[in-house]
Amino acid sequence: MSGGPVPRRYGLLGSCLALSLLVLVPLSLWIGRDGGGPHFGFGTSDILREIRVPRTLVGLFVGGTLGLCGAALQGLLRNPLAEPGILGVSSGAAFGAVVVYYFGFAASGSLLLGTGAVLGSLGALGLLYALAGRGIDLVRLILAGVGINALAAALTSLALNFAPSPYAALEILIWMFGTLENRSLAQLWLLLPLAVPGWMLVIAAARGLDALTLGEDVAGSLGFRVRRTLWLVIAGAALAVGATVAVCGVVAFVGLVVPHLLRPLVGYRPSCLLLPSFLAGAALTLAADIAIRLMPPGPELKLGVVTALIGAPFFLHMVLSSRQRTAE
Amino acid sequence: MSLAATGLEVRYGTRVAVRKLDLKLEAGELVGLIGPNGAGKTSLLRALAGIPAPDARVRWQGRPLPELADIERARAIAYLPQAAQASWPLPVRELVALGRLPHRRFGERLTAADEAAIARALELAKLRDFADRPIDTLSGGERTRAHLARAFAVEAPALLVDEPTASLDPYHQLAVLGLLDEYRRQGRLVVAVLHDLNLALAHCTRLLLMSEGAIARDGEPKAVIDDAALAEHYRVNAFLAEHDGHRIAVPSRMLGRDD
Repeated sequence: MSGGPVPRRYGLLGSCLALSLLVLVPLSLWIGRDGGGPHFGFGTSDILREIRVPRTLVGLFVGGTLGLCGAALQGLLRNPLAEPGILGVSSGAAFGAVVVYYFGFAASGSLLLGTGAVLGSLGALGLLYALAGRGIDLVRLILAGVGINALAAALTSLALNFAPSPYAALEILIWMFGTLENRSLAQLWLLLPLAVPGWMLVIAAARGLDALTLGEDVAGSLGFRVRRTLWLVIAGAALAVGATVAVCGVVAFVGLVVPHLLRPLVGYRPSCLLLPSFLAGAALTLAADIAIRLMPPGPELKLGVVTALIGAPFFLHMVLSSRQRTAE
Repeated sequence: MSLAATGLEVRYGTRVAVRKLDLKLEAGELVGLIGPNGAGKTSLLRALAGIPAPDARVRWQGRPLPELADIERARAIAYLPQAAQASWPLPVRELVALGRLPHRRFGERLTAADEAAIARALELAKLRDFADRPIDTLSGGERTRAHLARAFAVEAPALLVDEPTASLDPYHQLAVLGLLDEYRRQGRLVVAVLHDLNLALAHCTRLLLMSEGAIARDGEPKAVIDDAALAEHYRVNAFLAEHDGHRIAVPSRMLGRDD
């Protein structure tokens, strides 16, 4: 008997997710949008190369990063409500990017912008850890996230207030909303050098996350250094989430919804959740972006707005059902 | 096979939990670590397991714990804390499989040897029929057995468990002690923190009575628990009797003031 039903389901799940991407990627290349609403067809090679391909790839990697980092943070904090957006990691990154942009250090798309975002998310995660501490309880964690979100939003608004031109203000707003509109290959080259090392750090923590399921003491007795796992996830999530925010702003709740839906399918093992969450996060983000392009004529919806509209009620539902569980 | 401590001390800030303690534990023993609340039992057990950090005054096979690689220590000494919990509702088999983590490298799947160890642990803990049940659907006694099976699955020569019988009914208390005894009979060392003196008297091959951070008595169960020990360290008078060759102790009266 080799491992019971979980590994079989794991393989099946992976194939299904890969298959959905095989459908979504060509769709995303095929469906375009302009002022007159959606239009279909692959368009000219220029359109394909300069607009559709970058948008699709950025969407894939951003969604995958958010799914992966959500799953890793939930494993680290042993809490299904942990998510880069809710914990304030994304808004910290947005603030970091805005500071760099605002002070004129960088045009959008430069690596310095990414560095600012990564430092912002690192700062947010450090603050979160200092505020919520270990033995993480739900209320403290969420409150710390609320506090960090509020602080980052206030500071970003401050920058917005003093923005030198309406154009700069608009650019800052876009980071807060999150969008895949007008992404070019430059953004992809900003995303990948930061996100790929981030993914690797997070994946290197996989076994440590499994051990942490049994608490820090048992993880230690199983030969894991809890601090190492902690820093791998924090540094990895800060790098990867910071990079996604630098290229397309805050896209919230993908990292919450995706791991939550997949967890029962992988036997609740944190390590088995990482790659499926990457694939499903990519698929969900791409699907949302395709849906946005299919909307009737008018101003294009922002991706972050759409994910928040879907994710926030989901989050509330999770909070309510976790309260019921603790009340029982 | 031996787990030993020399001059071991555990401090929390200025408070000394374990003071200058010498100890040698051998394979084939089921050692009951007993003593009143706050005597330092859990602190000693954790230090022996290398938690929170390996202490050079604890030695495994004569080697100080910090000299062992993390994975080597993990394979040698298994540890189960009091009221062990899992953060996610893992199926029992997945929970038990976590005990094989020290035997696998990054990215390695469970080998046939791992599968066999998991099956043995499930068998030993009498959990075969529960293997696919999520841990949060089990009763308290079953859950304790599942966590014990996780610790068994490490197949370490030494197993340290903290109050495995707390909050279990008498039937499950006996069942847990029975499991620990079977693990010992495979030529391994088991150390269990116990509060129930009668369980300790009936099942352990050796008792360590701790009091105020030191080992007050060490030896055969009957030699450790008597009127004088109960009065001095537990501050109670007890009714002592013999049954089936075992001593029974029923505390009857507090001695001195309760402070």
